[in-house]
Amino acid sequence: MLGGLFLYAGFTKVFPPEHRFLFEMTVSAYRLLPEWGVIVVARALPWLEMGLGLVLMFGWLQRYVAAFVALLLGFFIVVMSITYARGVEVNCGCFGFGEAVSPLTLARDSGLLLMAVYLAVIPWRRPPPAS
Amino acid sequence: MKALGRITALLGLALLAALPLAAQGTAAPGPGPEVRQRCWGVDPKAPVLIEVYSDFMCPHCRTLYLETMRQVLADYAAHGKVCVAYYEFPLPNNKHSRPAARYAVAASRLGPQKWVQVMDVLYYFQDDWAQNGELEPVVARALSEKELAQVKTWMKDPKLEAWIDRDVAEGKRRGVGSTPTLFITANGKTEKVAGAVQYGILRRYLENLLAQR
Repeated sequence: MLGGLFLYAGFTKVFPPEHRFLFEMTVSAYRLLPEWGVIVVARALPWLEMGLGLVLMFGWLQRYVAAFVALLLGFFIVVMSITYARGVEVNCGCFGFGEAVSPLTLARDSGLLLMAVYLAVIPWRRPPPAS
Repeated sequence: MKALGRITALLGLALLAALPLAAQGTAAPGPGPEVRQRCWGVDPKAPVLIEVYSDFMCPHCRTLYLETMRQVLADYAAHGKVCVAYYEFPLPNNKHSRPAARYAVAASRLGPQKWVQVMDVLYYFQDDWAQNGELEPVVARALSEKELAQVKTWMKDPKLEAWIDRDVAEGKRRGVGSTPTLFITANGKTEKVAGAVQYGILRRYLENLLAQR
């Protein structure tokens, strides 16, 4: 399920093609990166999200991928929280555009983080196979 | 652990259910019919319209205007490719924003050139007047004595206050929650963009829109 959400999140940022420019403006509005950095992140991140989503959906290397996803989500939440706390209204850019960062979006992304942590933790807790 | 798994699955379903609501944010409310009369640029019917809701005391609005919109005015509006309309959206917490907005709206009656010059000084010297509210010396840098006297007379006109109130009401109707907020309309579609977008990034979007004509 988390994989599906990530796949969708990445997809909405690149299709239709004009969404790529909208996502660039979303990243730019955070005022954290120079212009070249904005373009690199905005172009690479959606494909990373789609790749991670696919890998999660198929369950490959689940513990490692889910752990990476959890770190990524944690980073997003920290950046959005700081921006929100500064009183700057920016688009979340999470699933589509026009959705401002708000307590609701932060809560929703925190829910995704919990899902990722759960997926990362489960494989470690599986009982060893019977000999 | 099974219970946690079920909770996680339910959470995922709830998030999936919330997605359509998030996706609806793309289609922003379009511009009003009179916007073309107040937009800055050589061609009011330019293919791209950028509407900016701004507060003179807002630091990000300052960044947007000085680092992005001035370039847009010079590189696109002056060549008939883009029409720029600025709307006053003084935030309630910013004490001196509304008086600054009054100066800008009154100065606009002197023509677009003077309006831009007043915008320039209000944003450029924002740090000076935002603390003490001393706006007149700042505006005086952009206007002659005669022009300043005229502007001060116009500032007493109740229609000016109504103009600002209308801008704020329209902004709220369109979902403006803070500043700066941009609405970019082209090819029959309006997109809402919040925050101080860098010029190079906005330019990429504008070039893409203009190429689609």
